[in-house]
Amino acid sequence: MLATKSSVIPGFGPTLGYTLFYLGLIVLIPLAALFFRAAGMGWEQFVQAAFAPRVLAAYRLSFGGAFIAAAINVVAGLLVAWVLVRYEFPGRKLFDAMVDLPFALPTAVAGIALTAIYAPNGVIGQLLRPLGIKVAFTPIGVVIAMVFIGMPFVVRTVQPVLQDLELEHEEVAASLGANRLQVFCLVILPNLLPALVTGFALAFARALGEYGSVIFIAGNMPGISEIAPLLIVTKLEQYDYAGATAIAVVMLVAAFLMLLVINTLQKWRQSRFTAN
Amino acid sequence: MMIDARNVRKTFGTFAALNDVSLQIAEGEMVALLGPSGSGKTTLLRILGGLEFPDSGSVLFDGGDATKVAARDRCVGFVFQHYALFRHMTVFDNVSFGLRVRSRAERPSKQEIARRVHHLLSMVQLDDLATRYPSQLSGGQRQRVALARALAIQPRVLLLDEPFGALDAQVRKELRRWLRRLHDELKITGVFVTHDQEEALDVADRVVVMNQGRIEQIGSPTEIYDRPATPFVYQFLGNVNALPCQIRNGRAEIGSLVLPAPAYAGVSSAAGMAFVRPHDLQLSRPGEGEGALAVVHHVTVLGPTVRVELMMGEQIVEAETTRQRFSELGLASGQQVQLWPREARFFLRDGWEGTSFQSREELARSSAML
Amino acid sequence: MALAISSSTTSLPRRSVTEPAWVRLLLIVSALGVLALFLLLPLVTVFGEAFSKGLDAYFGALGDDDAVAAIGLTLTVAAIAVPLNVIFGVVGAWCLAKFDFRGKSLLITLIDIPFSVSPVISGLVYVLLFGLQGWFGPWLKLHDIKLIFAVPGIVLATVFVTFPFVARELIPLMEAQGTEEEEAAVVLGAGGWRIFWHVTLPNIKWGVFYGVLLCNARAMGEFGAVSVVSGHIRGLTNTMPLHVEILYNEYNYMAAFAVASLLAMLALVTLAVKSLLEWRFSREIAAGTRHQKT
Repeated sequence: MLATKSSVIPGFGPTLGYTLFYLGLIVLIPLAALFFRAAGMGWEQFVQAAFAPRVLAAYRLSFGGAFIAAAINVVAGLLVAWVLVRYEFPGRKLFDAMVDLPFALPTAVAGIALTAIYAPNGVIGQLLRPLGIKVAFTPIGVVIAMVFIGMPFVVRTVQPVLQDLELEHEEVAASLGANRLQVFCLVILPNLLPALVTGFALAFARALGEYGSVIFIAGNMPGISEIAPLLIVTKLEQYDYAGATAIAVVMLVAAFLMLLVINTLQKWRQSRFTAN
Repeated sequence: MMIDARNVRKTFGTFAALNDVSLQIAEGEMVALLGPSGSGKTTLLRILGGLEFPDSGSVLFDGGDATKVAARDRCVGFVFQHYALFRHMTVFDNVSFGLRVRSRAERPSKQEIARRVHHLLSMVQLDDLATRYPSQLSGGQRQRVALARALAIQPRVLLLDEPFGALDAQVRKELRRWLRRLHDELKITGVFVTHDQEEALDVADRVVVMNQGRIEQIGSPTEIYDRPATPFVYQFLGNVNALPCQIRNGRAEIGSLVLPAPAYAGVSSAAGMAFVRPHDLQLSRPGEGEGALAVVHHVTVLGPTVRVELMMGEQIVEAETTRQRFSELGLASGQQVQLWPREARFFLRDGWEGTSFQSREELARSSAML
Repeated sequence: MALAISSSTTSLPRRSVTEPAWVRLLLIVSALGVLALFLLLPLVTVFGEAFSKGLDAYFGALGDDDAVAAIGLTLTVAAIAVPLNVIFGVVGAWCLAKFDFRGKSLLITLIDIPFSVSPVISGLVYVLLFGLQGWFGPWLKLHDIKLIFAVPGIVLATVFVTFPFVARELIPLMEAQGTEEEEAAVVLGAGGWRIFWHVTLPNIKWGVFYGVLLCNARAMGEFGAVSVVSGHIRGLTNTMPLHVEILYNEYNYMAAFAVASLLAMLALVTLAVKSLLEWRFSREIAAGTRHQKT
């Protein structure tokens, strides 16, 4: 890599060198080690470890839960973003700042708090118990924790797009005879769609790898409420490094695929409306 | 459609955007709302379109009260300055939007919609671009799509906000001619907002000059240009020399220049302002005619006309003359010439200084022609 | 993890086309309901549970030796990890924002990787490298160096998960600021260090602070990655989040929430300062907050 545009500003060589060194040391070499380890396992052993029935159940919960949670977040996040951008009400700024709470609150703290709320004797658990609904220590609890952790992604992705939407589009639609619902569905929503999909993908990716806020409320029953990241930890505690590595590789590949999808989505939305 | 706006007022916070504005627009007329930014012209247009509601006053469409009618029920075609085309829809979908959102009972059939859209697109000469997205069009093409979209709902009135503001000069001229022709064909009532006097005088049947939330003057393009009713209109339309003067018993004194001002016969002494268009200033050699002496300061040749900057005492005066007269006089910097205004109008200073025009009508009446 | 796309909506545009009042009210109430249920309630619960047995019990739980050790370790880890990533962030941003070279966008993507890796995997990779069965495990054992299940491992895992914070805040900010001022300084004869301290740093100081704030919050609160490499030795390798877990699993809820309340306060302070920064210095940090996507 060479500076293609000659620059008078000093320091390109040393800063690039340090960046590559530090990046390699902290991130790239350790991640490469994971893949080398998996490659050293042999195909059969890898498949056995990565796709055992208990592991498959964990994937199902992790991917399924993350999908449902991201879907809930798209609806809830759009609602929150809409209200924060479009309406004036007391405490708006406070609520706006609060949206970032799941980013700032340590996951373990969120985890035990959610468990306390949804446990059978918790504030909401109590209300749901007579209805026969159990949240804590079931897959529902897993989804709840994933909704918590994913919410800001949708809100923060949709918010700026909503803010930049030109009012004129809505005005022109109204003057052409569209009612408010038609304006929302035909004019506003198509413009928000790329942001919503991106928000969904971000929330999904985060929920997939989430550990701290989920494990407390999940109950962690093998095959039922055990998420894939927890299974990695469990394998490690049993000194089953191969098993942990195999699951980790599957999860990592999924995460990178998500990253690819997100990047492609962003390129697609740029090319769709701005092509010339 | 006939439009009647009565005593419309609108404030945004403490800013009075419209201050008691009344305006009648006749069926089939093309009216320009002309004024500087902040004059309230766009607010008035938006109120006519139902995108803004007046604090007081009323808007009548064909005699019926439309003040509280929502935009979607007004059946007006609104064209925004930046067109506001739906980016995610093709040209066809943009134009058909107003038809597609109608309730099932009123919605034309798919074939009928397609027929009407294609008719409109051929009218705006864009039929072969129906499947394009707005981002693939030029500015002028977008403008025409916006117009076709507004016309698709067969509006009773066409409202245009700075319709040519975002286009470059060449395209603007073409579209102006084209809009004029379209209007003559469709005979639709039209109102457009502009800050460009040339555009207003060129396209409109009638021009409404606005300033600071009020209407300064309404009239045909010739009336507006030839007989400005207020100092503001004078200065806003075309070049004008504003010369401080003293008015005494029916005479106006501009330095050594003394001009008759019979409308002010009753004024014994008052400060005023004389307005003289550069092309109304007649130049002659010293001693060959009437008028005050001035010194040529700078000469600019602009094709067939010549602009001459003169110093009349401390006052800079701009005159415009023909190329021929220029060579006859042999004008050059430092030369002395005699100035005589063929036409001038006077306004009393008290009445128009600052923002208020308490005695505007009176001023207009008392302004005098030579 | 996308942190904080700022949403400084100071004044709403006037709009005539909007929803009927009852729809607006309904939407506001539902949105606030969602926020209260999912975000506010957990926060309130933390403090409610922490103080459920009174102030004495609360401070008793915090004064416990193991708790104090956990607080100490958390502060130590953050004190090492944050400066390391600040140095990298500034150096990396200098290189990526002030120069053009091939592979630049790939490098930026690579820097973002830790955000898309599950925290558990972040810990795992170091176990695979430095654990007893890891590549360097035997060698480390021979030389009696303990990285995993010890403080160095915790620091490494924390550095990994907080790796991109400062850099991704500074890269778009410095890109937006361009290179004109630095070039002017060069022309005036300033050397590299002088340019950095007197020209560049004053322009990015609030961006650095913003990055430090978020980096620190994550460093002190990290659970998954640290949990894998710590070994959970009370009083020695327990950070605050891990201590919360241990207390919780021992059914000592009150104490768990007491320690958790400290972390929650950290989160609140972080959010407050962050909002204040976004509000006060929106221009100086705007480029960064606007472009954060992943």
